Amino acid sequence: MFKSFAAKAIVPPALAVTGFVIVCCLLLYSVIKTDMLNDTIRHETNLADTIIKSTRYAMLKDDREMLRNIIGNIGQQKGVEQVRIFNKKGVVAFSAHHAEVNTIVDKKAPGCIACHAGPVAATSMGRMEQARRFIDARGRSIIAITAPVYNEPECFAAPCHVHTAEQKVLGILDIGLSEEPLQRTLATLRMRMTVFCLMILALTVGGVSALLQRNVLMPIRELWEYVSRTRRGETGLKAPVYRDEIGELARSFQEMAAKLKSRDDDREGGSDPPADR
Amino acid sequence: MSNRGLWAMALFIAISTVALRDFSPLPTLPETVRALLGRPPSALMISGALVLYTFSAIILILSRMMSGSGQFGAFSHVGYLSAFYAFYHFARALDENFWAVFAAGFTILALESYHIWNHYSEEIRKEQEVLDAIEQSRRD
Ligand code: HEC
Repeated sequence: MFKSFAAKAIVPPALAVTGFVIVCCLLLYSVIKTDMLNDTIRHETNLADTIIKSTRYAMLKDDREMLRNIIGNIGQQKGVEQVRIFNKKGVVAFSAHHAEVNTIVDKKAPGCIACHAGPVAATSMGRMEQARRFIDARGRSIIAITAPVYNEPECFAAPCHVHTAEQKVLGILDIGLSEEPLQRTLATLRMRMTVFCLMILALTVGGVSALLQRNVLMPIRELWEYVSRTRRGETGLKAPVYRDEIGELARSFQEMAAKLKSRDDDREGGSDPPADR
Repeated sequence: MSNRGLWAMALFIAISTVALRDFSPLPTLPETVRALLGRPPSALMISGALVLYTFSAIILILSRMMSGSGQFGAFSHVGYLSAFYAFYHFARALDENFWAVFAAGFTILALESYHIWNHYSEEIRKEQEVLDAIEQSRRD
């Protein structure tokens, strides 16, 4: 009896509280994840812009040796999985992986499709469209940013006359960074939230059981003991004293037992019926 | 009658398996219908609504449990939860938020099933008592 009573009282609050906390944690996690991803992408687009700015002078002077060095050095940075610059024909002009140089990439490839989706290539794309996430051949997740290198007056007015004023986009910088730090932070977050949910579950189950045990189950058990001993004919027992419904019940039972007992005594002792009843 | 909660749970799990694959087994809405529906609310707004809905649904079920009322809404909850799947789908945020809707649905339907089960086992016990009393009076 006690077991099923306790279960009845514990299941609903434990389920409600833990379920609600889990829902909130999952939603919070998804919001935090989106925010962190957007933050990472913003940082990386800034990085791509910085790289383009730092290569600007070398490009203007058409100093290929210097460009090759810059790209090679960036490629050695920890967390940078790939850096390459495409020229406007979609050919890899510079890359940290030397084998890639001079290979052609299809303009429908994931990083290029943002501008090349329609028949006429777009000259710019939204900040979030610049980013794409994929898993590379070695199974690592990567966030890659494609940033256009725009034509500027100094480029088409340069004495080499390689570019004309009509060209808008001279090339594309493509940089891929490992998602590993982000994933590691998210994994810690997940673990902390799981521990948090388990603690909430333990606290609700523990709290409700402690309250029940102290305020309901113990008094009921005491009352039950008192009642069964009275039934077995023991007299002179004191009813458990509580200042709540259970105490009320115990008092009523004690009165009832006393009345029954005095009636029994009367019936056994006197031949004539009691006058006062 | 008393396993209505379980039926609702089964229906919800079936809908969830379809939603888990981002509704790919269903035909996609044509772009014109999508345009007609207008811009979907942001994922953040849907999440806020989901928290409010879960909270009020839990409070409602708990209060019905306390008052011992025989009112249940298991199937309407399945409807609301499917609407949340659909909204997240249109906001293109179902991937990240699937498990939140699932946990909400599981909690609400489990509470509801528990309530239904408790209510009917109580009813059955009362019925049994009445039958016993009749039996008793017939024997006397
Ligand atoms: C910022 C938007 C943008 C991105 C990203 C972009 N392109 Fe382009 N692309 C252009 C524009 C604009 C032109 C037209 C160039 C001009 O001004 O003449 C063009 C022209 C080209 C051309 C030659 C013209 C043609 O249509 O065949 C090729 C090939 C090409 N892009 C390949 C690529 C490849 C491969 C990528 C991915 C690495 C890429 N593009 C990414 C904007 C972009």
